[in-house]
Amino acid sequence: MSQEIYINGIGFVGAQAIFPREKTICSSFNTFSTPILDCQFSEYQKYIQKGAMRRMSSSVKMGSVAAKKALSDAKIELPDAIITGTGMGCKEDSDIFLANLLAQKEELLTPTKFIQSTHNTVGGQIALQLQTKVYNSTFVQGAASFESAILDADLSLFSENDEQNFLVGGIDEISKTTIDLHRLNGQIKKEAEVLNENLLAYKTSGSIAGEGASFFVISNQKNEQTYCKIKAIKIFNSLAEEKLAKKLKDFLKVNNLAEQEIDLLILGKNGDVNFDFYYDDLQRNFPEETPQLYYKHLIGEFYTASGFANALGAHILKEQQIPKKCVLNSTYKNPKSINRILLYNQYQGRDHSFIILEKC
Amino acid sequence: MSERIAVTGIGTISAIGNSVAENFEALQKSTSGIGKICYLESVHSDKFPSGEIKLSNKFLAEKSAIPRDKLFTRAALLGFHAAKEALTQADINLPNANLAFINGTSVGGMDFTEQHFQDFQEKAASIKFIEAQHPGFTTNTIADFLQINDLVSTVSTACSSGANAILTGAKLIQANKADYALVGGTDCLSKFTLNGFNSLKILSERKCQAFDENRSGLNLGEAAAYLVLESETQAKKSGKKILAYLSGFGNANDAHHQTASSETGEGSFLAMKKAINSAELSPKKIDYINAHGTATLNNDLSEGIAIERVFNEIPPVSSTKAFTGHTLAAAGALEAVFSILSLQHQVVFTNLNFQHKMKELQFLPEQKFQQRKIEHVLSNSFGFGGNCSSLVFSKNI
Amino acid sequence: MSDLREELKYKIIEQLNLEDISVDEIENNDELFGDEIGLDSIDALELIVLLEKDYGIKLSDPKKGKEVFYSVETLATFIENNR
Repeated sequence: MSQEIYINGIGFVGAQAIFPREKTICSSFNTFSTPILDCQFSEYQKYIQKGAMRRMSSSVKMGSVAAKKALSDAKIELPDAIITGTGMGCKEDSDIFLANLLAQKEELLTPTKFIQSTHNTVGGQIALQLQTKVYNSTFVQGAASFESAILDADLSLFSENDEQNFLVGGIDEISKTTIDLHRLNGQIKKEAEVLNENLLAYKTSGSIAGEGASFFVISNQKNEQTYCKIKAIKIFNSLAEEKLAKKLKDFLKVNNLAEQEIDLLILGKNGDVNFDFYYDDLQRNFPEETPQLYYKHLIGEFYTASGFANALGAHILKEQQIPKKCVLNSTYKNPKSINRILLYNQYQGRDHSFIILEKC
Repeated sequence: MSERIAVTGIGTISAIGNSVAENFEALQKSTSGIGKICYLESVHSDKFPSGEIKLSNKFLAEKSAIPRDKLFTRAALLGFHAAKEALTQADINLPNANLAFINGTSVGGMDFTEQHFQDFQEKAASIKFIEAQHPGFTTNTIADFLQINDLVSTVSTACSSGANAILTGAKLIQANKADYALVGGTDCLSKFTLNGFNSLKILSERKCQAFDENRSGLNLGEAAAYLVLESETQAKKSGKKILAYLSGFGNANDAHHQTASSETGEGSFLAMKKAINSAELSPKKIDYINAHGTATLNNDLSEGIAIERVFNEIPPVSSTKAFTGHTLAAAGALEAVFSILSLQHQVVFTNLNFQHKMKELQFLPEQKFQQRKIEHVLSNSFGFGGNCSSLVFSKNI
Repeated sequence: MSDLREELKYKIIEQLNLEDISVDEIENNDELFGDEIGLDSIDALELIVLLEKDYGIKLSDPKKGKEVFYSVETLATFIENNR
C-alpha cells in the first residue's frame, strides 16, 4: 500500500444478517434451497428518512443502510470521501426502463427509472442523505468493482497527512430480468433446488445469485475501532491459468512475504465447475494446514460479493476465530495466531484480485 | 502535487473528426458536427439533432482490423480507435509496458443490449450479448485487443466519468502504481440515453446554445478520447515530447438532487476550487475555461454562477458541446483533449450558436476562435448524482 | 365530479410511489409541490406523462405545469376543461 490503511468500520446487508462488532462472525447463518439468495434485511425505515425512500431502488436502500452501519461502527459522522463499486448498478430500474422503452416504442416514458440507471446512483444518494460534498467516485469493473474502490481509496489516502476516513463500499442487486438472463447464459445454476451449504457438491456450471451491500470505513489512522490493516491490493484484468502461480509469487514477494506467512485464505469459490480451477490452483500453492475458506455459498455470487470476504477477513483477524461453515480443507490446523489473510477472487476467469489483510 | 503528471499521448474520435488533428481543424474552422441521426435507429432520430459519428460499426471494425467474430460494442470500437492514436503518439509498447487502463463509460454496450433485449430468450445467437451492457465489458474488450492485462478498471460517474478516469490515472502515476496510465472515456449514442434524456425533457430540438438566455436543452453526442499519462521524470528521461501537464484536479459532490444541480453550483464551485488549489495556482492564472456547458437551463445557470463565484475576473469561457454534442462519459476526456489543444496552439474555441446573454450571469462566452496566451486551462465535467470534477492542464514550458 | 379528484389522488400516490400517504390525507387544495406533499421536478415530468397516457391531454408548454399541477383541484379542473 502507499501508506498504512485500516478498516475501522463495517456494514453489510445481504442474504446473511449484518454482523455487529460485538457479535462473532461464527454465529448462525441463514440457509437457502434455491439458487437465488435475496437480501434478508427489511428494516430500511430505521435508517432512511420517510419520503426519501419512495424512488430508491434496492441497491440504494441496501447501500444506504450498509454505509450508515459502517459509519456508526467506526464512530464517524461524516466521511472524507465516498467511493463505491458496483458491477451492475441499479439493475432492476435500468431493466424496467429499457423494457418500457422497447414495449412503448420510445413513447411516453417517464424519467424516474432512467435516473437510477447511472451506476453512480448509490454513491450520489449516500452523499445526498449525508449532505456531504466530499470526493465521490464509482467504479464498475465486473468482479473487480469493489477492489477498484479500495484501490482508489488507497491512492487518495496516499497524499493525505491528516486523519481521513473514507466510506468505501460495493453494491449489487438482484433483478428479475437479470436472473432470467443469467440462467440463460449459464451464470446461474439451472437446478431449481440448490442447497447453498452444498454449493460445491453440484459440479455444474454457474453459481447461485446473490445481492447485497458491504461498506467500510477505511482510514489512515488506527484507533480503538480498528479491525485490521489492509496491507496490499492488486488487480489483474485477465490472467491465464498458467500465470496465476507466478503472479501470486510476485505479489507476495513485492510485499516481502512468503506463502508460510499467510495464515488463512479466503477464496471466491462459487461452485461454477468451469472456473473454480483458478481457486484450486491457488490453494495448491499453500500448505495443507493453512485454513482455506470460501463464502459465496452464504451470500450468493454477485459482482461485489468480495466485499463480504473483506468483512469476513476483518472479523476473523479481530476475533481470531474461524467460522467452520466456511472451511474448504479438512486438513487445516488452527494457527497459533491469525496474523495475515490473503483474499483471492475472480469471476468467470476475469477481474482477478488479491488483497492482504493484516492483524494490528 | 509531488511528481508532475505529463501527458505524452492524446487520441480521439468524435462527430467533428476521426483524429486529434481532424478535431482541431473543425474547432479552428468552427464547423459543428451536430446534425441528423443516421445510424442509430430511433423513432426520435429526426427530432433531436445529435453529434453522431458518421461511420458504421462495420466500417470502424474493418478500419481497426478487428476480426468479424469479435464482439465489439460501438463504444469499444470508438474507444479502441482513440486509444490506439494516444498510445501510438506516446510510443507505448504493449503488452510489455507497465500500463494501467482506466476507462470511463456510462452507456457501455447498451446499444447492443437494446437491440437484443427482446430476443435473448428466443435466439441462442443473442445470448452472448447479455453481458455486453455492463461498462466493464466494453473496457475489457478494448483492453483485450490492446493486450492490457493487469490493472484495468472502469469509472462510471455519469457525465463526469471521463474526467474522473483521468484523475484516477493521475493518482496511480503519483503513487507509482504504474509507469503509464491510459485514461479517458467512451460512449456511443443509444436509444436508452436518447429516450432517457428525452424523458427528462432536456434534449433540444435545435442545435444547442450553451450559456444563452434562450437555450433549450442539450444535443447528445458520441465520442471516445484518451490520454497517456506518465511521470514528468520518466517522460523526460525517455526524451518524449510532453504535450501538456495535468497540473491539478478536483472532485466534489453537489449533494443537492439526484439529477439537478444546485442553484449556487456548490459542487461545481468546489470542484473548480479544489482543482485550482491542487495545481497550486490562483484563479487569475487560469487563461481559459472549457466549461461543461450542456445548454440545459439548469446546468448553465448553476455552472455560470459557480464560475462567477470562483473567479473575480472571468477568463475566456466556452463550451464545445455545440461541436460534438454531449458525449456523456467521454465528455471529460474529449474536452481534456481540447484543453490540451488550446495549450498547444495558444487558442480558445468558439461557443457556437451563442446569441443572447443570460440575464443571471455577468459574463459572455467566447464567440470566436482566436489566438490567446494560454498557460493554464480549466476543464469542467459534471454529472447526475451530483458528481462534479474539474481538471487543470498546463502548458509545457 | 369528485370521482376524478379521488382517482387523481389514487394515481398520484401510485405513480409517484408515495408509500407513506393515503388518499384521505391529500386535500383537494393541498399544494402538491409545497411542504404538504413535497413533490419535485421529476414528479412533474411523471405527471405530464400521466396526463397524456391516462387522459389523452398533451401539456405542450411544460411551463404551464406549475399552475396545472398546483393541487389536485387545479389538475382536475384542467382535465375537465381539456377533455
